[in-house]
Amino acid sequence: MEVPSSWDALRKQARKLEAQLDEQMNSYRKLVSNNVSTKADAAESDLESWIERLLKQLQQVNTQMQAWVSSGGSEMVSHTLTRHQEILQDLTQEFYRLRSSLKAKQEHASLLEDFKEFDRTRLDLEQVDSEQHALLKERTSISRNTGHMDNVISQAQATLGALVFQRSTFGGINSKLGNVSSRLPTVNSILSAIKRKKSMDTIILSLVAAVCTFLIFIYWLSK
Amino acid sequence: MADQLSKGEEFEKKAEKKLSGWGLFGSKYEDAADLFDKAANCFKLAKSWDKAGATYLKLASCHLKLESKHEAAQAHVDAAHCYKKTNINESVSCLDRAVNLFCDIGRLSMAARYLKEIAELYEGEQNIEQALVYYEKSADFFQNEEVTTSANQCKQKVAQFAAQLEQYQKSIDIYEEIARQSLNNNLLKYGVKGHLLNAGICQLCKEDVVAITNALERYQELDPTFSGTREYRLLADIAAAIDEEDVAKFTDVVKEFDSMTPLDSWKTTLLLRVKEKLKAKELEEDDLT
Repeated sequence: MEVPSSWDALRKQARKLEAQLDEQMNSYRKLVSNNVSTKADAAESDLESWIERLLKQLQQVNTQMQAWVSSGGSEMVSHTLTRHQEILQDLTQEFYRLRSSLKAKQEHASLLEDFKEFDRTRLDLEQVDSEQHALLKERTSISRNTGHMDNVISQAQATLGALVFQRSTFGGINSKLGNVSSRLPTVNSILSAIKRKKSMDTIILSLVAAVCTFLIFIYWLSK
Repeated sequence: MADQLSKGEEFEKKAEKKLSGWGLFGSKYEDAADLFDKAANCFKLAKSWDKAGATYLKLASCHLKLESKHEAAQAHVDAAHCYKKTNINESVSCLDRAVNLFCDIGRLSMAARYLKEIAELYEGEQNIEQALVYYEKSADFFQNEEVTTSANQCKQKVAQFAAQLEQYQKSIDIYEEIARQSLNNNLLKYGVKGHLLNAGICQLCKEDVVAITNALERYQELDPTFSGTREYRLLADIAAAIDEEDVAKFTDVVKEFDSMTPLDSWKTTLLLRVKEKLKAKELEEDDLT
């Protein structure tokens, strides 16, 4: 089967864009995992806008391919189009996820950053004598123990959440069973369909009998 | 793969022929519906999601002609699940139509479930406004059907997105209501401090120290054990830092809390907003000085 050149050109363009997107996404992924700064630097925003532009272009190419297929493409071609659409969707979802992750990391670092604190901490350390230092260490260890207890409580709460979710799942099952029992009216509609079929059969049988009787009558007259 | 596709197209042609033909015995729509169902199934096996979705839509229109609204709604749901893989907008519109049909026949719990599914699709697309709208509808429907657990899950999503869109009062109202409900349930009361913390953080974003203080007092009345928790301590200390307009103290308090209970991204975002406002105020005062 000969595929027109316009399809070939579109496909080549889509493949090229997908390859570029893969490359840029890898760079972006490395950037996200290595990021420790609080400021969004130029490299990140450049890369983001570049990826966004590529995604828009790929979307346009897919739209053109869709239009081409709608005006009479073959099975193989439409299957290829579906594959490209899936790729576009996967890339878009992953880009959104990475961007959210990067933003969350930046916000977290920015929230905990304070330039004055460093100096103040140093001053505090210089002023503290040994007795206060011991008390501070004790306070820190008590806080750490409290943290551990909070962790255990959090695990218990997570377990509780899972159990609550199971409860809602069983509630869903219960409502599904109710739904099944409420489908019994469907059985009534099946019975009424059977009844209708039966009356239809009766009509057919009557017609056949009438036709036979009529033919016998004609034969009897012609004797 | 290809043979499934050709089989599907064959079934579809038969169905179209049935529709255009004259049905002497039996209903042509019933027969066409059966054939469309087979065709859609073949398309799914061939992974032709667009064709499968389109065929399910034809199946739905057949069922509508037959006055079978439940079957039509189910066909729309199947179409939506097919389109979900390639075309989110089409998927959402199919689910929307399914929801309307389920409402017509009075199946609100199924309507609520698919409204939640629409909201999840929008959430995946990072369209927070639409996700909020549909989560809200879903919560209403679940509430109407007395499915409180699912309603509260949807409401928490509504509160989360409302806060992200800076509709803090709405968020606060929802969290406080959920906390109040949870207090009456022995299983859920240990999660109350989480809800109150979320409500408190939203109060902090409103930049009203008096309202924060009143809210903290109200929370203590709601839950007497709350005043002994670290969450209460965090909120009270942040309120004090805001009152004194001290960014360093704010940062110390948040850092101490974060060192033991790491903050999730939602709390981080909101607290960062508070900190930036506080910093702006401090700079303003420095300029005046």
